[in-house]
Amino acid sequence: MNQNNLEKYFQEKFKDFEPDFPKESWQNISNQIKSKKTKKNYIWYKFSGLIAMLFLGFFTFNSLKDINKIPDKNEIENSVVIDENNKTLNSTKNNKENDTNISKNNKTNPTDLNNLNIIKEENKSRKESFTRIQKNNINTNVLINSNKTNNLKLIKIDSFSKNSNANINKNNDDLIANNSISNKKSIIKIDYVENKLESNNQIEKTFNSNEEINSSSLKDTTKNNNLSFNTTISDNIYNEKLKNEINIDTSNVVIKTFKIELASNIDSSKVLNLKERNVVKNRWEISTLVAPIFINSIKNNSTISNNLNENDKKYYQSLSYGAYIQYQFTSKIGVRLGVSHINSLQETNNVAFTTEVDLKNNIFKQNSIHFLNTNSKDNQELFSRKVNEGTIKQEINFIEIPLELNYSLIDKKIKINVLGGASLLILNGDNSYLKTNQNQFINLGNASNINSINYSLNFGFGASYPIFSQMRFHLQPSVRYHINTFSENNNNPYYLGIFSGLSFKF
Amino acid sequence: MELDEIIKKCQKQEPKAQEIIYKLYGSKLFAICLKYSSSHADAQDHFQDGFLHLFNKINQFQFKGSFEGWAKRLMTNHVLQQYRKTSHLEIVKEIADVPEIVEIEEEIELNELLKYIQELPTQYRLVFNLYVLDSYSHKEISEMLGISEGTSKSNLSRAKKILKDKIEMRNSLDKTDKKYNFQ
Repeated sequence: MNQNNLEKYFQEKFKDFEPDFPKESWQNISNQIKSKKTKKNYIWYKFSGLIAMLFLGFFTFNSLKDINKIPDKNEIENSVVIDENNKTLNSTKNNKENDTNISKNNKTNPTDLNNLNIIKEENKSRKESFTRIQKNNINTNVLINSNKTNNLKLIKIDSFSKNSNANINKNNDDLIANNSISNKKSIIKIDYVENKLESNNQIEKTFNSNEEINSSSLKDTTKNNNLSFNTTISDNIYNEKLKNEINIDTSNVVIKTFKIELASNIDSSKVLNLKERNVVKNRWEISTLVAPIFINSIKNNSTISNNLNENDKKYYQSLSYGAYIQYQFTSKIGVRLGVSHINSLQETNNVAFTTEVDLKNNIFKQNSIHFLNTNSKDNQELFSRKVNEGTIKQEINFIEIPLELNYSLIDKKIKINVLGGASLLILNGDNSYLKTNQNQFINLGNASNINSINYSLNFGFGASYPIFSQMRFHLQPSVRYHINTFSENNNNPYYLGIFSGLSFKF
Repeated sequence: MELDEIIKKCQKQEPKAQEIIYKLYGSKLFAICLKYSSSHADAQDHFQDGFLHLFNKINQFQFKGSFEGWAKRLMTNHVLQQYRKTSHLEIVKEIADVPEIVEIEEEIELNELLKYIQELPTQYRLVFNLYVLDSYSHKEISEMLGISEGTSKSNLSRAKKILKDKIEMRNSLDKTDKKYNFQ
């Protein structure tokens, strides 16, 4: 008889354990590697396709929105005067002489003007959306007038030029005029110039091919051809529906986007329209949000044991709180990243179970609990031990890191936006316990089927209202659909939250 | 061809190199599957899936330690993962003292010992293999299985008790056989 240490005995025995392995399995493994490669590629194609579709959809939506918009004649602008001292934009309609300068000469004298910038010109034929007009010549001038320094800044948008292949740019061309006013850096940025010309003949009618166009002749021509050629600059350009948003700072003047359209009153698309849009003042925004969370799941299966799927279950209302930072790419699109805490508490009622009983202390033993299907719990004779009942409570905590795209639908005093994105959820602990009908608490420990990292798809709407100039109050109802919370079953919960809080722009 | 070269080719997903690795390490990795699984059939399934997993992850091998050690760890974790999925709640700690010494009447075949291990309840089997046969500490086991150290110790004690009982049962059967000359 040998006396052996159990552990050492097993270690000795299994030291050089090298069994015959199933060599025929290689063929299966090899085949699966090949099929996985193809599958991987397929998934990649699908993913790329989805991204491409999203982008296409987004840009198509945006362009359609612009195309379908009938231009208002009041939007026609050909001159902008910026008074540096007042740091405001003066608006003058119907060619007020002091404020509007339309060159009488076909040739603009560069010595009279500082920093004359013509950023882009592009040849386009009319029918192919590229319009080229050689006979007409219109100079549209944007003048920046500095009273103190008499430092005049002129931005010339040379729409048509007789000899130099002046062009009308139909697409998104950027015009950037850099200006230094009174030694301060002032930037006028014209991002977007869009001209719509549909009838070359009408344009030729409108503008005499060999004539120089001055302010009066332009006016006459406009009248005669029922073209309203207004000079519109407004102090409260933000508030008027002029599509101009010009941001003047002591150090920066940013004119983000201009749109030029030429149109007649017969065909509104033949209006020369100078439009500015997409001005973003403060790009960063931080916010703190808190929300009551309502949780449910589509399948309503048990996350603890399949035997409890039939049981009555309910989620308790929970609370989520966190902080977010948002970066505004354009006036419409922003991306926000956050971190928040979220927890769920689920109760499973009428849980039938059998377990060993510690007769000494008359308590249930926690390591021998076996949960029973509700359908079989009434058949006591099936089980060697007594069937007991109780309620299970399971609490799960997550740290959530949401990354969401924010698209502005209405950008007025009250802003309305739509939010979409995904969240990374990091498991931050869980606990389950069973409360028996005898009022005993049995700690069931941690669940091993909760993924430590899981994801959710987020969608919601947001509304915000200004409290101070840079502070807003937010209300954001949103839904989060969790994708892979549990490793085994597909009992994915969804969270409905009504987030509210404050944000600060900087 | 040197091992590093074969591994690099595996990282480029060359089928011939993959087959060489399969043949070189098949036996050692199948041993892990047999020890940690509850049956030979399960072991075969885990072995096949585990090798697929290994070839998927082989790019993560950075030639810093031994490839064999890396592959064994990967296979062990893979099998553990399969069993972790099946039990949702861990058994809460309860330590029982088990005497370490066991009397062996007659040498026991390796396959019989393997059968004893395979017949252990899942979590006991995993803990016993990790601690006794693969020399992981209770701390490491607790992290690998997502249980507490106390639970790991308790599971080990219970596993050893079951194995001891089985060996002693075998001893008594042997004695009976000898007594009545049932050989």
